[in-house]
Amino acid sequence: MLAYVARRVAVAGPLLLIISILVFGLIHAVPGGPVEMFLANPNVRPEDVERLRAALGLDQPLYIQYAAWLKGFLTGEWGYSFVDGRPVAVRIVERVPATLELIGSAMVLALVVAIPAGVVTAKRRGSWLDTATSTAAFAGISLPLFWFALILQLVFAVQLGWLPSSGRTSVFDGSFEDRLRHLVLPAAVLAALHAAAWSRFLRSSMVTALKQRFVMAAEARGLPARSVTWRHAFRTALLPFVSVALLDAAIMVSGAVITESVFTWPGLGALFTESLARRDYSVMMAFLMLTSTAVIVLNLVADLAYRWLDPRIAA
Amino acid sequence: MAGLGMLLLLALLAPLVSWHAPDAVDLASRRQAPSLGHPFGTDDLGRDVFSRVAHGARVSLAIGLLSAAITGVVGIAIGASAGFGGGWLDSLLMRITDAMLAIPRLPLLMVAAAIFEPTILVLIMLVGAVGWMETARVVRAEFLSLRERSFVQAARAAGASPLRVVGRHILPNAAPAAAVAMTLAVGRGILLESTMSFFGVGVQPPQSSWGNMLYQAQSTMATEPWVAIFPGLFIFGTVFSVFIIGDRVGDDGVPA
Repeated sequence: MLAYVARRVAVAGPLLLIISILVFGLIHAVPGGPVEMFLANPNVRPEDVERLRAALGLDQPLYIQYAAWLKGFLTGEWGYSFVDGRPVAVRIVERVPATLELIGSAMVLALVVAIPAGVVTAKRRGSWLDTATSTAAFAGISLPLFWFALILQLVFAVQLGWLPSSGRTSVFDGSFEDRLRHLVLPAAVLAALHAAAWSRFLRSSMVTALKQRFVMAAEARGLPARSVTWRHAFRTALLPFVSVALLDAAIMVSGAVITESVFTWPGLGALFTESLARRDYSVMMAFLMLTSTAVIVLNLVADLAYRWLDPRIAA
Repeated sequence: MAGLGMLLLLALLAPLVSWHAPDAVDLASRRQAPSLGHPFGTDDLGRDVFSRVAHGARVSLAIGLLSAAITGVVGIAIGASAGFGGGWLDSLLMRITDAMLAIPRLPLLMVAAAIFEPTILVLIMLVGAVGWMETARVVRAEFLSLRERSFVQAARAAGASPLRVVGRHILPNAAPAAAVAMTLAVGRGILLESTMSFFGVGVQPPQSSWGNMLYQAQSTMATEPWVAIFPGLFIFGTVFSVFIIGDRVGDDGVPA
């Protein structure tokens, strides 16, 4: 088992290396390089730009620059934001709690919807409930998230006035209830896609599990149907599902970018779009590296969890 | 269902039925609700929403289909090489695939589009460049299993060159799975393009795209909801139909 873990971790290293090369290549594909924004400014003299280039080490061979950048990234030196001059690491870290809150709630919401939907439709295949749920699931994965967010805002915040349309808290009210009300719409938007995809996956996973012989055996032994479904079949179906749910992390990041921007939720996603609009490359690059690393770590966890949970796969 | 999907797509392919030019600014008829003259209403500048949606359809569908074509070519090439070649080539290609899958697609695309100017051609290439991974994986899996089949072994024993074995025997049998993956890529491509346009790094105005129409609709959404409802509805409907078609193709191997 330990050898397996070591092997998987060892594989993750080259992956991160490839990603870092990609990201580094992107930032240096900007016409003019990282000092691009100074070039258009008539008040900045060419000599100053040259000085800046030398100071930033931009006149050195590309591979040396890459090595320096990589070393910096690994030691937590993520550079400084072009927008407000503060260290990128600080700007990113201060936004993490909000994003975690949003993603966490969305995951819980998606699970609460997907698990019953997947299990029940697996048991009642071919029924109208199954067809309706399946159609809804297809709809869920086809939804443009930003449009769904706008529509929800329109209906619930503008027309009906039940829920606030943006932000994480109201200005003068930081109570739990207020924060909860602000959380509802963004979490719902982010959860929709995953609830749809997960319910479909869980359904097929459950169908396979229910066909297993041990289910027939359990029923023959007289176990109540509910127990057979939940304590036996569901646990088996849960196994691949856990991996799939964790592997959706990358998609959830993209979803968070959209959701946070539309709802002005002060998280990492909103930071990314702000940085995009102002061409703050240092923040964007750090964001890409950080999220990719998180996804890879989650993939690793999913893989290891799968192995650990399934006694049949003894390393 | 699939029939409805095809119908919808066909209807969108002939958007030359717009009797108002999509760029025709008509300040006298600004912000009108849907009516006979303007089935989807007018926007902030008096432009007819229906014709903008119709012209946006051409852009979105073009990007979706062409990027899926790129996805297919790249994905099949990589998947076939990995699946058939095996060994270090397989490992290398799969590492690259995994790496690309780990980076969240939307932020990556948005950064890339901000760096390279987002013309339609560039957008097609970018969207295609981030969509090949799923197709590659599917094709690789097919190749890995087909490689061991008896008819392939027979062909190799008869002395067929690897190229012939791949092209004549394995590829045709891997085609259905690849087709499903490519269909899904069309849907994903449309969603990605519209999201990028919504954030301003996709199709640039005055060219109308469903995404950038929604971006412009944000400010007037409360009082003129039709500008926000229709473009998004079309994105949703198109992608929905595409996914359903993909599902059907997967089931029977033929559309509808």
